[in-house]
Amino acid sequence: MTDSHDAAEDILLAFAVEPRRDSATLERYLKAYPDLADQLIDLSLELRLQHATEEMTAPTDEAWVEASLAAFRVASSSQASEPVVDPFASIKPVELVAIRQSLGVPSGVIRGFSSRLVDIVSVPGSFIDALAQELRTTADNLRRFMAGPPRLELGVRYKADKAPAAEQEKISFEDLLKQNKVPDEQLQRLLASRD
Amino acid sequence: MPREKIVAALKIRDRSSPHYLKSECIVYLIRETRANNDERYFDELFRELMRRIDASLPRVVGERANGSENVHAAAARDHITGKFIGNLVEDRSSPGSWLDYYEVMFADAIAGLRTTYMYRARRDSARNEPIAADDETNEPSLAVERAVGSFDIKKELLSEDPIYRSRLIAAIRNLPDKHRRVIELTMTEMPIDSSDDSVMTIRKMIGVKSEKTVRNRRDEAHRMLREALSIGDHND
Repeated sequence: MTDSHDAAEDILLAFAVEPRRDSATLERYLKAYPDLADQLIDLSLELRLQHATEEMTAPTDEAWVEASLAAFRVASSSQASEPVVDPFASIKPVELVAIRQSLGVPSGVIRGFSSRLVDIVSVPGSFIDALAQELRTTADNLRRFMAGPPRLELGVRYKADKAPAAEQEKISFEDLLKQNKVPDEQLQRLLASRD
Repeated sequence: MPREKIVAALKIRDRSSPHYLKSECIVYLIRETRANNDERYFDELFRELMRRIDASLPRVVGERANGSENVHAAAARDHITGKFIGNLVEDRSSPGSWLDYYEVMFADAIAGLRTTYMYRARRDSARNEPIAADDETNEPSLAVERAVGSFDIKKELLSEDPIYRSRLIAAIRNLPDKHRRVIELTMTEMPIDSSDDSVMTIRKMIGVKSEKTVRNRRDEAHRMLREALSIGDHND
């Protein structure tokens, strides 16, 4: 759908909910939006007919009602437009130290999360829950935050001569642990709860 | 009002009942659920709104019920619901103004969305159909002249017989675009033509050269409606 379609839809909606529905209102819209004349006339008639049927009731299509509810669930769980709160934004560096100590991982592992380098799907649920709790957020919010592309961490840009670039590809939790030289025994323990 | 009472009120179909919840009110309530996680309550509100959308959309009846118009109508319902769901999802994460339309006048907003959709669907399918014969002529058609009787659609729409009313409404919806639009403009009491260029007229709105064409279309539309309703065909 293009922008112009949406603009037309907005104008028709505005017309549909006009408090005064009379020929003067229709004329005003016809003058202002000559391109939409046919649709405005169609709508004007449609509203007239609808008001003539207002008290009539028809049996509803319950199967369709349920299908719509299912469609809403899919749309609301997969929607990407929702603003995601950065759970690391309000955490002070000193707190990050406490978090990595409490989770028993090197700071690089925490950075793998704050830079969204790690693929959240590869992280065991129990680790996500524990990290979310430390970050004072929900596992769901942490997951949605992590679904974004890898990003540069604050501070990195001041340390290099060349402008650094964020990683393009995400890595697995296992690789993140290996890259940060997590001892094998601990690595196995952290991965053990993976689904 | 406690939620159990709201859920009970959702079941009331009688609009004249003091406990009947208006659709606009349900839109307000469903927006309010943003702050809580009562899924069952949300689902009840959502289901009822879908029923209201379904009820506010016209049924396709008559001979065109199995034709392309019916396909458009079913697709329009899905399009409208898709749009509504998209707006609702958006509204739940960052409340905007889009749903305000539904909160002000629910059924009318739905009619607005339906009109745009049907207009585009008809326009797209018209590209695949042969062009209709041009009716722009000054010659009045004999058949039309004969069948014209007084037919005040505005008055007929107020008929107390609900079955007659719904047949009339279906017949109006089934009129070809160019006839239907003349009918609507006639009902708004717009002048057919005027020597004053600044006056908005039906002739200018539908883009024809002669006022006779307007009259022909209007009369032909009346004839088609009377035919669909089986009125006056005994006198011919």
